[in-house]
Amino acid sequence: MNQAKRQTLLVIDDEHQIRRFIKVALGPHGYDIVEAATGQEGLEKATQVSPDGIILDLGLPDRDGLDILKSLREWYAGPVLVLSVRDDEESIVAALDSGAHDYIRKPFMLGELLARLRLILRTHQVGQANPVYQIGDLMVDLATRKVTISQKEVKLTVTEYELLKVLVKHKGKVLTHNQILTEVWGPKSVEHIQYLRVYIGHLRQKLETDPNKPKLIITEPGVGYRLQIETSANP
Amino acid sequence: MSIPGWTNPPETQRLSWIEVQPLVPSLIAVLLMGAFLEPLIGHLAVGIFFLILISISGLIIKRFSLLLLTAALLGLCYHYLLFPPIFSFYVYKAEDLKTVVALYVAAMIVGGLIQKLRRQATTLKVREETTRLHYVLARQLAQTQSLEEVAHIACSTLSRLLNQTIALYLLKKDERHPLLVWHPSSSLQEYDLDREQLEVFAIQHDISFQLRNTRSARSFFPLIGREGLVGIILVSRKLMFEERQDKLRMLETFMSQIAVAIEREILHERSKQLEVMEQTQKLYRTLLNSVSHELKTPLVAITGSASAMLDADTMRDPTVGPLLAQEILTASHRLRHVVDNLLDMSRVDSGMLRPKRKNCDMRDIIAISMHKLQIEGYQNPIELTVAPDTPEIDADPVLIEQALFNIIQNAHNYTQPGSKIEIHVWSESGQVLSSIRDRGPGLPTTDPNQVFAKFFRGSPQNPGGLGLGLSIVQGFIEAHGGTIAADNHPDGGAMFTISLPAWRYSV
Repeated sequence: MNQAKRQTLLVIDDEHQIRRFIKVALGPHGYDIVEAATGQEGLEKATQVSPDGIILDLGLPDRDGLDILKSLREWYAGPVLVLSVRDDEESIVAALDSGAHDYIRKPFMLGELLARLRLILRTHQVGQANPVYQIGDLMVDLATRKVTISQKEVKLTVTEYELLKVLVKHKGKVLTHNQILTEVWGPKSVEHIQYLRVYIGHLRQKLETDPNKPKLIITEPGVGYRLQIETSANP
Repeated sequence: MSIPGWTNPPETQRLSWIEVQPLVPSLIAVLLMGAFLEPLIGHLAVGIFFLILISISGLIIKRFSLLLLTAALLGLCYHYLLFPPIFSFYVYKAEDLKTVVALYVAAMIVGGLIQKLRRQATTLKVREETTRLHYVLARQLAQTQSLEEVAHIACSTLSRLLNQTIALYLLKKDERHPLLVWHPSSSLQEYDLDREQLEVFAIQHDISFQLRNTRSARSFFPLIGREGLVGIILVSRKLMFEERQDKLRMLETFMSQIAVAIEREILHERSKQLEVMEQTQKLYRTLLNSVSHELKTPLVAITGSASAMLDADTMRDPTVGPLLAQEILTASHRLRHVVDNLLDMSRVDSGMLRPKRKNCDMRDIIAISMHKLQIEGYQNPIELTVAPDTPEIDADPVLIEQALFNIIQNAHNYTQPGSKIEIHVWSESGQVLSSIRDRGPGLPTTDPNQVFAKFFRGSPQNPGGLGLGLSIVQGFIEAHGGTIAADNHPDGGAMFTISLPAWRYSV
C-alpha cells in the first residue's frame, strides 16, 4: 500500500519466531526486515545497513537491551522502538530516558505495531517545521500560543501551556515523567512527579470531554503520558 | 568414668541410721578379736591395739561425727567388757582412767587428721577427674557435626559426671512462646509433674546458674548460652554437694560448654535452612522467568499473526496468509510442549508417576519417537543399530517413548541441522541399554550430569525451552528403576546412555 520507497527495519530479538513473524507481517506494509539474534549482531547489522528504524527487544540473552540502546545512540540517530514484557516498567522508563522513541508490550497486535512504527518514523522525518498542531478537536498554534478545542479558545496558565506544548510536540509518542519534568520545570525538578500529576489533571479538566475518562492525554502506567493522536490503534 | 566423690552428701546433714548401721558388725568383730587377744597379751595391750584401730579408722570413716561415735562406743565396750573389773564401769586406779582418756583423745586427734588428709586426697582426685572429663567433653563437643550428637554427648557426660539419669530439654524459640522439647538422648523419661514447673522457669528466663529443685524432689539447672537460655537439664534425684560453691562452679562450666555447643548447632541448622529457602526461591524465580518467557514468546507470535490475518492490507499479498498460519501452528506446538513439560515435571515431582509396565520392544518405541520427530519437522538423520539378541524391556512404552523423544529433540536443538544422531541398543546382564549420541558441541566437561538439573539450559542463545526436558527424562527412567547417564563421546558430541530392566518371561 505504501507507494513511497520501502523502509528498512532492523529487528533485534533473540526469539527466531518473533523475528520471523515480524518479517512476514510487516512485509506487505512496505518494510524490509533485517534480523539480528543477539545484541552484538544487532550493533554490527545497524552499522552495515543503516536502517530507517530499529525494533529492539529489551530481554536479550547476551547483553542487556539498555546497553545495546546506549551503544546505538552513540552514533545512530534514527527511531528505536523497544519491545518489552508487561511487568517491566523500570526498564521501559530507562530505555525511553536513554533515547528509545517508544515502546510496545508483548504480546501486541499487528495494528499497534504498525501505528507505533508509523508514528516514530514520521515524527522523526517531519521535524518541527509546522507550528500549528491539529489533534482531533484540539488545535494548538505554537506561534500565537493559541489553544482551541472545537474552535472555542481555552485559557491556559503558563505552566499548563508549557506542559501541553511538550505533549503536542511529541504527539502520539510516550513521554516519561522525567522527560516531561525536565522540559517543563527544568532538570532539577525530576523528583516532583506530583506537580506533573496536578497539572495533567488541570489540562484534562480544560481539554477532555470527560476528564475522568481521558481520551486525549493518556496515562501510561508506571511510565509516563502520551498525547493520543488516533482514537483507534488500528486505523 | 564416673566420679564417686561428686555427689557426696554435705557434712551439715545429720548422721543417718543407714550410715551408722555398718558400724555394729565391725564393732562386734573388733571386740571379739579383742576378747581373743586379751588372755595372750593382756588388757592394756588390747587397749592400745584398739587405739591404733581408731587412729587408722579415719581412712575408712568419712565423717568426723561417725569417727567420734565409733571411738566412744569402742571405748565404752572396752571399758565394760575387757577392762578389769569386767562387766562394770568401776575403775580401781584413778591414774588408769586418766591414761585411758588421754590415749583416747590422742587417738581421736590422729584419726581426725588422717581422715582430713584422706578427704583432701579425695578432693584432689575428684578435681583431677573433673578436669579430665572437662577436657574430654570439650574435645568431643568440638568434633560434633549435629545437634543430635551434641545432645547425645551432653546427656552421656552429665549422667556419668553426676552418676544419675538425666533428661535434656531444649528450648525452641521459633514459636511465640518458648517451648521445651524433651530430647530423645535423655536417659530420664519425661515427667509431666515437673514439666509445668520447668516451663514456668523457661518463660521467666532467669539466666543465673543455680541448682533448683522440683516438687517431685529432682534437681534441674539451666543451660545458658551466649544468647540466653537454650535448655534445661533435669536430674533424677535431688543433688547435694559437699563443697557447694566449688562444685557448682565446675558444673556451671560444663553446662555453659554444652549450651554454647547446642547454640552453635542450632544456628548452624538455621543457616542451612535459610540456604535451602534461598535455593527454593531462586528455583521458583527461575521457573517463573522461564515459564513466562516460554509462554509469552509463542503468544506474541499467535497474537501478532492472528491480528495480521485480520488486517486486509496485510492479506492482500496471497503468500502471507499461509506463512502467518504456519507461525500460529508453530507457536501452538511450542505452547503445547511447554504445557506438556510442566505437567510431566509435576507428575515426576509429586511422585505420582506410576509406570504402566508391560513387555515392549525398544525398536517399536524408537520408531514411534522418530515418527513424531518427523511430524514436528526435525530432519537430522538418525542411524539406528540394535543388537540381534536384545530382549524386550519391562517398561511403560508411553513414558519411554516420551523420554527418547526428549533426548533426541535435545540433540536436534543443540546440533547443526543435518548432523547425524546415532542410537545403539544392546543388552547386558538383565538390562537393556540404549545410547543416543549426537555430533554437537558436547556437554559441560566438569559435570556432564548437570544437564539433568531442572531449568538447566546448555546455552541461553539456543532455541527456547524450559530446561526441563532432560530432568523429565531422568524422572521417567528412574521411575522404572532404570538409570540414565550423560557423558561426552571420546570422539566428540554428547552421549546419553539409558539402562532399563529387561522383560523376564518367567514372571
